[in-house]
Amino acid sequence: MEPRNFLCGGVTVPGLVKQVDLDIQGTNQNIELKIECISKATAKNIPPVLLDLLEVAAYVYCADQRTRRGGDTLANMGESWRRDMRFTIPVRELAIWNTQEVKDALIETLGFLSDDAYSFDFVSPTKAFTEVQGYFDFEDADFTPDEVALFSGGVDSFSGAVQDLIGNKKKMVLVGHHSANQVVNVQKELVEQLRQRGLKDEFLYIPVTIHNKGQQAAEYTQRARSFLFACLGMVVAKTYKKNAFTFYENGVVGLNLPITKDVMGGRATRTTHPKVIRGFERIFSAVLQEPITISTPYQWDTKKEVILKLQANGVPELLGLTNSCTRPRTWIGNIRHCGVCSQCVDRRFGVLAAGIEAHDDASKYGVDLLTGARNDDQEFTMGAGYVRFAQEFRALPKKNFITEFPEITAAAKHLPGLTPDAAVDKIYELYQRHSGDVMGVIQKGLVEHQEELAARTLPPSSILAMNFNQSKLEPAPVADTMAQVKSFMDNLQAPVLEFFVDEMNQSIIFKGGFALTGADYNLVLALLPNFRTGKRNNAEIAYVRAPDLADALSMQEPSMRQAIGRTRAKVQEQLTVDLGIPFGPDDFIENKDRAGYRLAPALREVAGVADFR
Amino acid sequence: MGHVRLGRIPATRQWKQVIEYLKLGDISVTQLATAVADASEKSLIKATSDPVFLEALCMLGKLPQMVKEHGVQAGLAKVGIQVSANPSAVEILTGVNSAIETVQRTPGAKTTDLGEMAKQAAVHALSEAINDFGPQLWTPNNTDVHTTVASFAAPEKFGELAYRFFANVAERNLKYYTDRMIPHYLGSDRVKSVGDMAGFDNALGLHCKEAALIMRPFAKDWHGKLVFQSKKPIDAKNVKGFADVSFKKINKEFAIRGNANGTA
Repeated sequence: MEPRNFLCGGVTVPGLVKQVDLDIQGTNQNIELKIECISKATAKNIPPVLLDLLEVAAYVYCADQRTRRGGDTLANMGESWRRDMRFTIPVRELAIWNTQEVKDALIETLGFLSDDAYSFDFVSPTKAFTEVQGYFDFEDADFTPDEVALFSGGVDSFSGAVQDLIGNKKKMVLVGHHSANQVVNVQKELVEQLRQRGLKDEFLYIPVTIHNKGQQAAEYTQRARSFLFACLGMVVAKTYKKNAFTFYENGVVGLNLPITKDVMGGRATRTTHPKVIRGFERIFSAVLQEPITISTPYQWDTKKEVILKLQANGVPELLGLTNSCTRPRTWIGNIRHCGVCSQCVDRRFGVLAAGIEAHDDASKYGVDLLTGARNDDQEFTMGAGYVRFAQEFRALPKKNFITEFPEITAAAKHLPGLTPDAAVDKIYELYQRHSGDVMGVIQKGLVEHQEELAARTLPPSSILAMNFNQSKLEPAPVADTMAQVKSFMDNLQAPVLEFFVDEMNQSIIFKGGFALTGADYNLVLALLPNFRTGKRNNAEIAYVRAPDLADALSMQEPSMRQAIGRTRAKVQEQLTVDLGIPFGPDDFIENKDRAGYRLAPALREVAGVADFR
Repeated sequence: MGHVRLGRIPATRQWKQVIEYLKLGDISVTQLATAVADASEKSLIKATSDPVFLEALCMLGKLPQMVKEHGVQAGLAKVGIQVSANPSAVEILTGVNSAIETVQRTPGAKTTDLGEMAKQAAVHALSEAINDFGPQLWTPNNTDVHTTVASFAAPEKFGELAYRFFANVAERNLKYYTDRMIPHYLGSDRVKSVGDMAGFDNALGLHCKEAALIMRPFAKDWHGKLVFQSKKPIDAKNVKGFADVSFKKINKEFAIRGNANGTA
């Protein structure tokens, strides 16, 4: 894809084409950023380089939404999916941002996160920067937390908050970023419920708004969003003089192995992938020039295990208020979960596996997980793919894990305290538990709905119906078929290049039907007498001097050399494919300095096409 | 968080034909795979213009050579992989992934999903070959793994690696399309249940492995000729020529198998 240049904060670069101007401040402002509920006192702890970080993250986030990735058909093998994003950004701490470590950390981490290529040019500003208060709605909130965590309103982040507030009795700051009004309402409702349960003084909720101003998003995938989210966590943590913050997300979603083969690279989000989390730590540590830690306490938990923490902490009834749906625009009336997006499918499987569905009103799902019709192509593929993945993973031996899921090697060296081998083993066990959870839900559902299944009254496109139907499969191949075929092929004699001179039709015919005619034929014919003489006498095949060959062909020598080059290329290209013979330049017509040309001695002339072996 | 974006099948005439086959239901996996291969024929050829694909294939050729010549740590460093002094198979595979990823993230690289497929296929091929060609009578230690990796520098073993690589790329390429399409025909005569999808997948995988078998002797001869006879380097230019021909051969093999089954 062609590079896309983003000129940020009012900077200009003469002669740059295809540029997009982004500004978070001033008269041309087209990005709005507002962080609420920070006290003036704590905001003083924010160093200039963190304001830079906030702006860099905001520019990347908004640029991500302004650059299309191509359509759903993935035309030209998804060439538009991976974008070439180039940023020019003014910063306060130029010396820090221009270090190789900062740039490398940004390029590698963001590249993996959003599946794009990035480059950054950090420059001096052309106008005054916004003061710190420009991004904050100050409140007189005097609060001293133990920890800072990111809070989306989904079941994972809420379970994490509950575990730390109730289970671990920590004082928490919860940072909530949202891009849709429905999402902020979810966050606020959950926060209100926690307050009503006597936790009012135990946590501070900091909502953050950021969006493109005056322009609709052109791209909705938002793969770079978690960089912004992490930067917000970092900035808020620093206001409380903390060098760490927490991302609550279960390990299965964090690793997000592809459920179908068209979900390649970043089309499965890498929001909390271990490589991304370590990359964020690297960026923040390099920018702040001190070690920063991001903890992911649910790295080794499945969705079911995370959901059960709500029950363990005595608030399972709040499960129904959490929400992870990616399609809030589809919410109508009582419906609060579309039921078909990957998050809804994942969430509902987790709830049913945990056995606390009594606290997650099924009527709030647009489509029932097990019995609902999935009519759209992608809805259907999502349901079928999710279940198939679990079925197949359940049967996967550990020794084949990397062979079948090479994607996991991207995570193996980024899990603290574990060798790559130990990490792969632990990931395998995590996915085995997850697959067991999913298949347990299917099995239970098949029993509960056996009458409808037997009567065929469930929609054929429902997850249960698609698991119930049975038919004959392709017969399995004999166990050692491949070994036998390989052995047979290896024992085949190396192919020899044979040709037949068809004088009647003036062509040189090769096995497989390929033929040289016209000038190519004449060239071979001119070399043939020496070839035949050498073969007949079991002697060295004599070369034909270049001037003599040119005379015989009635050509100038340079033209003749070009003609020979063309003939060689023609034979090489065609016969390599037809006969499986890897050709070198001298394998058909040999050329020796000062000696001239000859047909290669390894060739074999046959008396007729019937003699081809 | 954890969002997955799925794709849709292009609305071209050839893909409509494939969908008709699925609706009819009574055709074999080979016939269906051949129709998919026809519809996606040009896509494989595009791979050889993708710098990530070329890097992945170069890696399979160069890595064993370097390990054989310089030892495991120094050898891997020569192909851009940093590992400990005594790396395990997982550590080596992790390094292969990272090294190829570096090319993928280069501004202006113009890479596609074929590059991503090739990256995964390279790790797949090396992992599978280490498993298959390492000691079978005892659990291999790291030294056994290094010896096994170095053995892939021989033309015959490169033939094995290349075969596994191309078979996996071909399989990923077919499934890249069928995974978007097959689930929608669950309940048809062809694919009645999720269990049938797994059966179909296995059959498709086997079909690709059989079609790519032709690569074993071809890759062996190419490697022997390039490295030992011509003393030329395994680089992007040489690998591109090899890959161009390889895909033509595999596509031809798909066509032959399709003809034998009465499709094309």
